[in-house]
Amino acid sequence: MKADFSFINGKIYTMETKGDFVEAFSVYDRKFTACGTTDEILEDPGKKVIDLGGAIIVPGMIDAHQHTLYHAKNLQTVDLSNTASWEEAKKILKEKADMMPYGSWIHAAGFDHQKWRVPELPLKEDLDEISTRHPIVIDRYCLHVHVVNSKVLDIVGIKKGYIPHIENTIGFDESDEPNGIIWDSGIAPVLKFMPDPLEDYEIKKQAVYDVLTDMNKYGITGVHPVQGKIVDSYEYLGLYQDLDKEGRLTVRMYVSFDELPPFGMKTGFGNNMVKYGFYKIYSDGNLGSRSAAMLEPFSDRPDMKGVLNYSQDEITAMCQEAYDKDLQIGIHAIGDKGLDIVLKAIEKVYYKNPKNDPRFRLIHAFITNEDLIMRIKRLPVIIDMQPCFLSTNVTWAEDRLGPERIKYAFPWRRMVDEGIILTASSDLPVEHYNPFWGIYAIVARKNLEGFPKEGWYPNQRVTTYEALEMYTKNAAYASFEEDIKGTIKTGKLADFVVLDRDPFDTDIDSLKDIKVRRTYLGGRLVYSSDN
Amino acid sequence: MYAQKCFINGCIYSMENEGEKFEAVAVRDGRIVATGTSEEILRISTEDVIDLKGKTVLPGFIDTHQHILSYTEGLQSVNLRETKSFDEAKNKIIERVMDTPSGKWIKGVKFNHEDWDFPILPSKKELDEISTEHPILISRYCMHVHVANSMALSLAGIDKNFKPSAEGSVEVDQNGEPTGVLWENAVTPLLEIIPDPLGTYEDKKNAVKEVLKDMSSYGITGVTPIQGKFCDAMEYIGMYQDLEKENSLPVRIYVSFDEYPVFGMKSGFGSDMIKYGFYKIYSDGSLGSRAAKLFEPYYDMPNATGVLNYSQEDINEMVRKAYDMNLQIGIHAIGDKGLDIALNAIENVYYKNPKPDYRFRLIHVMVLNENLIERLKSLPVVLDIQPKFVSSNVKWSEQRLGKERAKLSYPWRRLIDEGLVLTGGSDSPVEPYNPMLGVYAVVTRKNLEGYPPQGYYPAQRVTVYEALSMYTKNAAYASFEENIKGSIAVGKLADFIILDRDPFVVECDCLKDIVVEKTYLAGRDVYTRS
Repeated sequence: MKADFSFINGKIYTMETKGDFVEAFSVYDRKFTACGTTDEILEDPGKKVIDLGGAIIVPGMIDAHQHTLYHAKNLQTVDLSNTASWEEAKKILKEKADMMPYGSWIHAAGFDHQKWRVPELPLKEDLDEISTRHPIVIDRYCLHVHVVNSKVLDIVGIKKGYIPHIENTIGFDESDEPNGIIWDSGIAPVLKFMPDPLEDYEIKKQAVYDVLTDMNKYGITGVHPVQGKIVDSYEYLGLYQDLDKEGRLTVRMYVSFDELPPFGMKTGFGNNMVKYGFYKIYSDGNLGSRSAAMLEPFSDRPDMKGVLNYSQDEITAMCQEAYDKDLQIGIHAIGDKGLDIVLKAIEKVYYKNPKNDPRFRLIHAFITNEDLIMRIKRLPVIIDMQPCFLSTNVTWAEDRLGPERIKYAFPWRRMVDEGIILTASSDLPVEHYNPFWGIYAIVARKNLEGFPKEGWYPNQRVTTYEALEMYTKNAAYASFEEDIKGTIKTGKLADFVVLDRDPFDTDIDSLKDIKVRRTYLGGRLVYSSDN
Repeated sequence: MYAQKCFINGCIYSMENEGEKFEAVAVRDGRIVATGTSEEILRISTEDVIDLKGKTVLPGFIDTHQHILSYTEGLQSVNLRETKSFDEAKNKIIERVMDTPSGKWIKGVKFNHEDWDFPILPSKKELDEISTEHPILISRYCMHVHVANSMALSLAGIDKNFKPSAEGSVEVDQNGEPTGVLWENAVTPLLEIIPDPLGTYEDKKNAVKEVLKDMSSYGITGVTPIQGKFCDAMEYIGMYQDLEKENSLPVRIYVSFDEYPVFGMKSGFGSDMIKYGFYKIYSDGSLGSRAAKLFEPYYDMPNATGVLNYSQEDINEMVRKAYDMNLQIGIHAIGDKGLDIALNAIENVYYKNPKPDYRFRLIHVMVLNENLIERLKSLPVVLDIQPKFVSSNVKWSEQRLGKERAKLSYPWRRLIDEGLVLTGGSDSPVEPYNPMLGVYAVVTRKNLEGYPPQGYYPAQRVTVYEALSMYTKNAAYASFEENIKGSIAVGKLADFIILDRDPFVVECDCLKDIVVEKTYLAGRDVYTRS
C-alpha cells in the first residue's frame, strides 16, 4: 500500500490538456502518487478510499496578483455601506466598540447618509452616545466627509478657536465648538493619530489567516501577494513563515516586493509554502483615475495623457539591476505608453544578454495596440491580468479610450491566439478573489449583472478551459512551479478542489455561480462546505 | 508499508540516545520511514535492498560554523599553513611571485608565527625583501592579524597620517610609521582594493561546488556558512539556490549574515536544503592574535587585554534590534570579557521580555570563569564551539592565559556536565572541516601529533558520544531542525554516513583516522570513497 488515501469515481479534470480527465488518484505525503481509472487506482489503493460519487475536481486555483495584507488591513475598518439609517449604523458601531478595549480606535467607512431614512449627517454627540472612551471616526463612502466623536477632537486638539490648515474644513456649531464634521484635508491631523489597526503582530497574523482561509472557500490554494510600498501596501515573508510554522498557512505564497532582496537571494528562495517571488516595478497609474500613461490623450479628457512614475532611463536601469541579480521582474503597466516604455526596458536588457528562461511578468497590460502585441509575442513574458477589471470597467472604459483604442482593450482572445501566456488574478483589494467570477468575466465578457447582454466586444471571449488554465497551470508557470503544481499529475503537490458542478458542462452565465465543496492543500482538507 | 530503499545488516547508531542502535532502516521520498532489525525491514515492500555488511552508520555530520566563500578564496592564495619558519613561508611566497606579473596582488594565508622557529610576526621590511613590485598581504590563520608590504600599504593609503577606525589597530614604529602589521578591521582598506581572484560569478560558484563536494567526502551533510562582512567573508543565498537547481548541492545550508534581513524574513526561512539562519555579531578578536578581549591582561603580554569591536551600548542595541525582529542571534565571543559583554546584551533583552525557545548562539567561547558559566546556564543559549581549536592551540593557549585561567579554557566537560548544549564547527578556513579531527580533539585534547601525551587539561575531555552529538543532534537543535535531522529516526531526513570503523570501538588516538566510505543525503548517494 503506497498511498495515504485514494479518491475514486470522480470526474477529475487534470488541466494537462484540454478535456483530459481521470476518474481517480492517490495521494501520499502531500503529493499525487498515481492518477488513472478507478480500477487502476483500486489495484493498489491508499489506506483510505473516498468515493467521489461522480463529483468534479479541478486543480487548486492560484491568484497571481494580490495585495493580501493590505486587504486584511482594510477589513479592520467597519463597513457601513449597507446601512439604511443612522440607527442601524450606530448599532454596528456599538457592537464593535463593545469588543474593543478602551482607547483603541474605531474606524468605519462606506456610509451614505443620503440613502438613510433621515438623510442627515450625525454629529459628535451622536457618536459620543456610542462611546466616549474609544476614539471614533466614520468616513462617508466618497471619503470627502468624516464625522468624529469628542474623544478624537480631544486627542487631536480640535477645539473652540482651532484654525484648520485649509479654511472651512472643520465644522463648528453656533457656540463655535467643533461639531464633529470634518471635510477633505481637515482629516489629515486626525490620521496622524490613528494607529495602524494591524500594529499588533498577533492581530496582523490573525487578520491574514482569516483572509487566507476565506480564499480556500473559493478554491484558492496559491497566491502571489505583491508589496507596493509606493501605494502603502506592505508584505512580510516572516508573517507567512510564522503561520506555516503554526500549521495555519492554508495557501501557498509567492511573495513579491518593490525593493531589491538581501543576501544575494534570488527568485524562488523558500519552500513549497512560502517563496520569495519577483521584483516589482510600477510604471504608471490606472485607467479609472486617468493616471495610466497613454500615447494619445484620454478620449474623455483631451488634456490628459496619464502619469509615468519613472523616465525610460530609470525603468531601464531598474530592470537592468534586477536582471543582473537574476531576479524575476514584474512590472505594472496599464496605459499603452506605460506598456511601451516597459517593453523598451525589457527589450534593452533582454536582447543585449538573453538569459535562459527569465519569464518577465507584465501586470495588468490591458490597453494595447498591434505593435505592442507583436513585441510582447517575441519576448519571454507572461501577462498577469485581472479578469474582473473587464466587468467593472465595462461601463466606462470606452469613454476613456474611444472607439478605436477600445478594440485593443482587454484583448484576451487575441493574446491567447498569439500564444502569449496569461495568468488571472484579483488585484485584491481592487476586485474580489472568487476565481469563478473571474472566469465568468472573461468567458462571458459581462459584468455580474449580466451587462452587456451579448458580451462586451464578444470577439475577445476566451474559452472556459483557457480561463481555468490562467488560474492553474499558467499561474504555476509564472512562478517557475509548473513541475510541482498547476495540474493534477503524479508527482505534483496534491492541491485540488471539489466543485458543485462541471464548469465545462454549464451555461456560460452560470459559471459565476459555481461553488466549491471542498479544497485540499497538499492532500489536507482546508475547506469543506459541510462545516 | 512501502519504501524505495532498505538498508540492512548495519551497525546503525541512531544518536537519539547513547548506545541506541539498529540493524536496518527504510527510506521513502528522502525520509526515514522505518527502523528495526534486518528481518523487520525486509518485510517492507521495496525497490532496492542495500546490504551494509556490518558497517557503522551515523547521522550525517553538521558543521555549525564555516566561511565557505572565504575558504574558496583562500584556496586561491598562498597557503602558509604548517610552515615551520618565516623563511619557509617566504620561499612559498617567492615561488608565487615568480609566476605573477608585477603589480598583481599576492595573498598569503593561514600562517601561524607561533609555530615558527622564531615565533615573531614579520613586518613590511621582511615582505619588501620578497618584492616591492607586487603588493603583498599575508594573514594569520585567525584572520585577525595581517602583515602588508610597503607597496600594499601605500596602495591602501596607510601611512604615517592614517587614522584607523579602531585605535591601535595599525602598528607603528618609534617614528609613527606603520610597520606593516595590521589588526582586525585595519586591514579593510587593503581588502577593499584587492581584486577578487574569483572574479566572475561562475568562478565563485564552481569553487563553492568543489568545496561542498569535498565536504561530503568527510560525511558532512549540513553546514552553517556565515558571512562576516567584517572580515571580508561574504555569503550569497542565491549561489546555493543555483547550485541546488543544477543538482550540485550535496550539503544542507543554514546561511547566516552579519547584516539584518529585509522583507520581514525570519530565521529558518527557506527549504530543507537552504535556509536563512541567524544574525551574526562579532564581539571581540581571536586568542592567538591576542585580540580576544580578556578581563585581565594576557599572561604573555601584560600590557594587552585584547580588542572589543563594539561598546556595550552598541552590542546591546544590535542584539535588541535583532531580538525585536525575532531573529536568531549568534555572537562571536572568545575572551572572558568578550563573552561577558555578549551575555550582558542577551540578559538585557531576554530577561526583560523572555520569548519562548529562543536559542541564542555563542560562538567559540574559549575562556570562561565561574560567573560566566552560571550565567550561561540560566540562559537559553547554544554554544557553537570549534572542537579542533583545543588541539591546534595546545602549544600556546596556556602561555596566553596563564595556569589559572587555562583551567577554564575550552572547558567542554564542565559545560556539558552543567547541561549546556554544545555544537561542533570547524570555523573553516581556520581549521580543516574533517569532523573526525574535531571529535579526536575534544576526546583526547591532544594535537594531531599526539601532544601533550596526557592531553591538555585532560579533566575536560568529553566522550565520543558527546563529541559526535555536537556534530549531529546538537547542531540540528541549534538551527531549530531537531525534528527533521541530527539523528536516525522515523520521520527524519535520510542523511547518514557509512564509516570504515566504529568510533565507539576504536582507540581514541585512532578517531582522527576514521574515514567516511559513503554519504547519503535524503537517501541519495552523494559520495562514495573510491
